[in-house]
Amino acid sequence: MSTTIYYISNILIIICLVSSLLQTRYLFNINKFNNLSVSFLATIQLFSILIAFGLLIYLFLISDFSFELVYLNSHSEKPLIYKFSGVWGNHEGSMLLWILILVLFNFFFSLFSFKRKIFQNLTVSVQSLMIFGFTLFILFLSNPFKLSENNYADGIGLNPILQDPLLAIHPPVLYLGYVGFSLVFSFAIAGLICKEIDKTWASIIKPWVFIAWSFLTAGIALGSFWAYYELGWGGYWFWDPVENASLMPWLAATALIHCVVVLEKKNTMQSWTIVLAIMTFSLSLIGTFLVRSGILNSVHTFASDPGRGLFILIFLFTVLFGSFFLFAIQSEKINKPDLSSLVSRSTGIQINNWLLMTILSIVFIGTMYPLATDLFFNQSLTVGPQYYAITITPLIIIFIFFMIFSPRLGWKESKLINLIMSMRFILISVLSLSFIISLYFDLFNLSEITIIFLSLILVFTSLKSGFSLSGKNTIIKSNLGQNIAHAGFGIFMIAVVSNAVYSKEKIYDAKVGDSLELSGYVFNFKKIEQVEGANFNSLKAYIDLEKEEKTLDEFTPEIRFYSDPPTITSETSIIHKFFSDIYVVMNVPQNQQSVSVRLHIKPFMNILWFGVIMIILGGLITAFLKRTRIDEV
Amino acid sequence: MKYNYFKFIPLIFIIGFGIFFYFSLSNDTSKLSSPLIGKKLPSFTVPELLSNGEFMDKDLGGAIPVILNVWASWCIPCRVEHPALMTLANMDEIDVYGLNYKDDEEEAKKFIDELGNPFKKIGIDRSGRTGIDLGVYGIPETFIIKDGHVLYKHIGPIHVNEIEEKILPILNKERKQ
Amino acid sequence: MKKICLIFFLLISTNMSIAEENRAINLFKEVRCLVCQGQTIHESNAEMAEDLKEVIREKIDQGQTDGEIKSFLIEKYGNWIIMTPPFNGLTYLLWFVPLIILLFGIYFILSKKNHKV
Repeated sequence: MSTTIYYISNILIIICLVSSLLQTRYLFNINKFNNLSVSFLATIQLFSILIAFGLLIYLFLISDFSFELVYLNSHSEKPLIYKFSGVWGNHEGSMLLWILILVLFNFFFSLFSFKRKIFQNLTVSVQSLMIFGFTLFILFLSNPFKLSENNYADGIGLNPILQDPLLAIHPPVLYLGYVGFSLVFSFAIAGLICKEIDKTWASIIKPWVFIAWSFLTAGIALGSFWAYYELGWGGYWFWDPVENASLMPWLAATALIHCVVVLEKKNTMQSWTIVLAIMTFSLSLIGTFLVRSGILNSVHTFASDPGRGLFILIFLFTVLFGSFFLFAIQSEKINKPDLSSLVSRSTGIQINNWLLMTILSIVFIGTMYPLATDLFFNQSLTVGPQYYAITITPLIIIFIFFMIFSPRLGWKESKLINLIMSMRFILISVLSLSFIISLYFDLFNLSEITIIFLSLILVFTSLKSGFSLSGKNTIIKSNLGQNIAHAGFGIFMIAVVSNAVYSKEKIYDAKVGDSLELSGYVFNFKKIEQVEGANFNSLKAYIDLEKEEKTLDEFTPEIRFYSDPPTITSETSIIHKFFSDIYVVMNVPQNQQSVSVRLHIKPFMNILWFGVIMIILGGLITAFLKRTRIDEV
Repeated sequence: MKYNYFKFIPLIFIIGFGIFFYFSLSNDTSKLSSPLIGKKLPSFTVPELLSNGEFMDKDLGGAIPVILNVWASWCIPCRVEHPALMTLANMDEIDVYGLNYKDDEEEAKKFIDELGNPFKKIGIDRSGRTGIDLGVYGIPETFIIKDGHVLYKHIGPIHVNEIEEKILPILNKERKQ
Repeated sequence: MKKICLIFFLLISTNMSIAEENRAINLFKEVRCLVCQGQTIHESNAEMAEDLKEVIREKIDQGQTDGEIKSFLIEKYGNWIIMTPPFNGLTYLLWFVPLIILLFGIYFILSKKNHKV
């Protein structure tokens, strides 16, 4: 049985390899195999990988340990959902998932009918070239269907830190984002070859860009949320290399979506759009390279193998060099002049794109610098959160400023004075509001209060222009998505700053019966007991939360002891209140007498996630909302 | 054909990064070099484990290079490493010293009784303070010291074949001088 | 009067210790836990982290400045142990590249626009 599956799955991968190779024909002007249509081959690509992926899930579900991957990453006593998510909780399986999403996008794109067939053919060709590369990679360097040499009675198990419902969906969502940009990349290359990058090009790619961007945003947010409650360090973003690796394509992608909008409206910024399309996808590849090759130390790294790293590096280099070379020789022919004046919306967008690029370069250099000093000077260096806070804060202030004003400028030319006059009510009310805030909470410093002030304006102006109330009817404007996302970003920034300023924490060495205290709340340590879980034993503490002598709720932080593989994890216990999260985590006991308990009060966390959801929602609305032209401006 | 040569600049950067990544790939970042290398050994004086004497930095000050190994009985890799230390100690003209790091004295003595004593002298660092002075963070760690200066530091257990590959070449080179 | 003085003295001394405790916590947040990659010693309760915390507390008690404590740690463990990179020959590029890119962008956008107007 196992041998049959082994052969079937490898044949399926080879089928995908061959059909992908056939698909690349348009790229090389080969006129053979014309009787095989693009969509037919795309269907074969999709189904071969889909069945292979289904087989892998099946192997995990029945716990067939004759396959090495299942042996290494699963265990018969693991709960069903983690058998399922164990499929992509490892290197080989996640690469197969990556390919599955590649062929999925390829398939959907090939279904649409285009006026200019050549565009579609070229895009599918470029996309298939990448599918070919990745399929080659899994076939020879990271084959998920490898039979193990020994007979194992049971598997090693999935790293318990990855046994989490959120992490079960985090990789697929993130990959939908990463890989979604592969299609954008392919389409950009097709446009470069045809020398036609114009309004039509932009309107075709626009929904895809926005969908991919929304998934990427959601994927990063899920990872961040997971880190928030699973790692138990009280933070949601650590500027960890792997987090940075996912943030970099996001920054490029955010600049890209704005360029696509300008291109669609004004037929300009062609070079920007192409460079950003190439960069976004390349940075997704760099992210994969950094994580998979293990050259970065990180909490998230789970597999490292230099041979694989080398392959991804060569692949990445080919993609980057090839596409930038093509861009260098073709770009003069695609550029259309920018006819707008200095004070115009497109300048505003260009400025913010450049700010995004600067932030991107900060994240990039911050992540790479320790590698470089280690390589060249044999000196290790840590680039911690403080570096990013110092360098990015001033940029964020300018960034929000232009986010407020650019959308309110006309595309061609505007008077700044008129604009400020039209916003006078909002400006005055927000200024006084933030003045009151700064008086009431005396903790904010200048840059913090500036960010809050600007973010508040951003939220108000965005919401105001997203809906307009004329009489009894609410009119939804075509820029609704944009305004929701911008307002969401404002809310997000307010939450980030307030959270940073008002977070409180305290560490206690606590015994049963102790009463701990943190900013008005009393934590009564009632008892601690051993509990048996599905595939772990745990030490569970019961802590009552009290305020003003009233018991409000109960915390149950745990320390879990997994045996397959042997690992100890600390489970946080969080009570979400409207304005703040109260967060309790136990450290692994070092002695018999007491446990070290860490209490956190994290204000505005709900609001922070709400802002992120608004950003994602805005992206999806823009992707799907047909332009029911009640025009702005 | 007229090109804007400005647009070719990214290609140079891409090649540069390609080379950089290639070398980073083969560079092991998890092993950190100690800033103490080439510097004078910090001074310390700690009691001895197996006698009533004292063990101090001056014991390691000779012109012949010596080995200082930081270990503990609770440290499993130290157990793995021990045969390698025994091999080293049985070689001619190589002195191995030990620093017992944050350990229980009785346990440490049991460890030595059980597995043999490769050390010429063993100091006790009960509080771990001397360890911090030496920049120790993950035992076992092994230093090669000559004239009171640190020549080399090895983090993690010494594998038997690493004696030939890493330790002996350094010792031999220093002896010739 | 003596009593008041004593209370006053006690108040000051407790205040001092709160200030010192804050200093200690701020330092803990700046020191990387070497055995638990990526965390600071503030976030960790690994034995190594606890030892380092104790050393830092002691040095604060001895009246050492933050700078002195940091350079002590760097001397023993290397630049790696401090979370925020220092500003020196090794890190000029790290701190200046973002600025250069920003300035280049401003020049780029302004010069492009001026051609057309």
